[in-house]
Amino acid sequence: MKQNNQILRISTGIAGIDKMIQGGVPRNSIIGVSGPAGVGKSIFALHFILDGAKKGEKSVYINLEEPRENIDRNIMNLSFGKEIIEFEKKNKIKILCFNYTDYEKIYKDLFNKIESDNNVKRLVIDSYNGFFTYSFGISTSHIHQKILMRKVVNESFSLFRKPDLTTLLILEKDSKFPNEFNHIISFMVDGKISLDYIAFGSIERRIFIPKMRWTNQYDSSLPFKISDRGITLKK
Amino acid sequence: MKKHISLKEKIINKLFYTNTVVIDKPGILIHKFYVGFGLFEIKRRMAYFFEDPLVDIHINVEKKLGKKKTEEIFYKIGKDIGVKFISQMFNRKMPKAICFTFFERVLEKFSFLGYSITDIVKFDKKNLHIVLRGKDNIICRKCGIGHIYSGLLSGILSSLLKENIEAKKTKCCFNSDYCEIVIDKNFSKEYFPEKEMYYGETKEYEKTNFPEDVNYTEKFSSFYDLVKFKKAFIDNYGKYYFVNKSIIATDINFPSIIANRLIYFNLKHTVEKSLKSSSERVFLKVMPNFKKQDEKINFLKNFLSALGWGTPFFEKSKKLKCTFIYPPRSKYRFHYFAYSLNGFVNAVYGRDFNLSKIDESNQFKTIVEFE
Repeated sequence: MKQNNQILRISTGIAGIDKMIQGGVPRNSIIGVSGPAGVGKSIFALHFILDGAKKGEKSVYINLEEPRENIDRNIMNLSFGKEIIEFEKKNKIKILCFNYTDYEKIYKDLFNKIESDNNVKRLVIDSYNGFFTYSFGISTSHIHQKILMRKVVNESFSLFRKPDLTTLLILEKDSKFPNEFNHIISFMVDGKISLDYIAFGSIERRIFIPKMRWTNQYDSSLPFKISDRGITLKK
Repeated sequence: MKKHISLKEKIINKLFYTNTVVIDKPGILIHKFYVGFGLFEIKRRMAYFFEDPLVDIHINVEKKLGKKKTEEIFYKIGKDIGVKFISQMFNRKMPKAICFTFFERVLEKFSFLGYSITDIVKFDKKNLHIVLRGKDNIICRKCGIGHIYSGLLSGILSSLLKENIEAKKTKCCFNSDYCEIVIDKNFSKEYFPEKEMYYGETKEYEKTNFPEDVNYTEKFSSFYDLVKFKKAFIDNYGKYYFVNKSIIATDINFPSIIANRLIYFNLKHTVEKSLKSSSERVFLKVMPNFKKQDEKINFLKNFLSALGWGTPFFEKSKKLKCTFIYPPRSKYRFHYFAYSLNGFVNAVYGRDFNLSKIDESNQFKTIVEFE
């Protein structure tokens, strides 16, 4: 961890991105990582948890979008995939896959367990807004729905606010998610890292950091690419 | 130095020309603004166009008809556009004081859109004598033929005051330090725009240009994406650029009126040829050096979508068919877009296509075919 202006920071595991945010995300913060499908958010999450494991920090990665077999396939396509598997065997990384129905039943207990385990320093939920659409439906025109949504978001954020725990929330960027939800999340997270791409002939990807509390972040975007080395920033 | 705005001007600002809300989706660009203290909403479908092809039309018309006739034609077209611009918003007569303040707001808006950097140096409201000086007037800045802008100002003021006022371009920065446009009620009456320029939009315009619940079957780019990904930018003077070529945001009616009116003046061939060759040239300058055809087509599709021309799909067999979903719909037709597209596809496919058909029979689709 780097110390900068007395804010302790956690590396994202991607050197170029750490440079954009004074060395890393603030410790104990809740960071949203958003972007359209296929842009590299889950790979970002894998960098994050691997970095934690390398530093002796236990990381929990909760995936609600894909079955375990798909996660394994994604991991093994990366040059650092074997490292992740090794750390998982040593219990430094915990990868948990649920469907929405099961997750809805167990998430409170799961978070209680995470809260009581002082070794867990990094948490990733992939994806956070996918679960909410499942729980609340797409329409939030009913005022009762809106109030309930705020309440549940507040509750889940209070679960993440544990000393020494830095949380990454993967957010799908899709017009199907109600605007109110996106606004609430944008307001409540401590930082937002946005990955996006444009298919203008060839595919170009860029990373934007529109918000990072307690940080003098880079004011422009940077291009990045995805390869077997995961996410690397282009010069 | 911050300009002091009087209470009267603040009230007029709230009545007319309040903040513009931009809705920028792939293929669709809408400007919404509110008048009457926010009570009335005015929506306009907008799009971006390269400036160079517009300039080329001017140059080629001048080559064909000579300087004087060209000035006359483009002044008339500018005036038609100016009248249309106001009639799209409101049709009632307003007190003169409000008209003049509104006119000043319009000039600021044009400056904001990168059309012009002109200041009013003399404003004799009693005798209706206005002198504007500056530079960087749209189109004129590239070729010295600036009468479309003086026509535009004449049309706007005439429409506001419900009285025909003419304007003259008296100086040009191509051979002077600045451009100068003089508006004076005593100038002899040259041109009265066609009656239908004074009509507002039909219900058809609303339905076809502001579609709700747009679903995209694939990822297309919006103009905002171009800015985000540093393909488009705005310079210090408010001019927009795509890569290194200037583009202008404008109401979809305006280029359509230009093409439509030039066709009316028997200049169809000149317009078609100018737009096609100029668009091809400018597109070759902005398109990266792709090796694969698919990449070029993908570039064109996303480019057109980002300009707000609808979302295009291409099919090539014996003919090249381009289907625009939710394209801009103007009663002045799609010719300007189609001729420009002809140039773009020539650049992409590396051959000389000719426009064979424009089909606007479907409400939310326009099909353009080339052979």
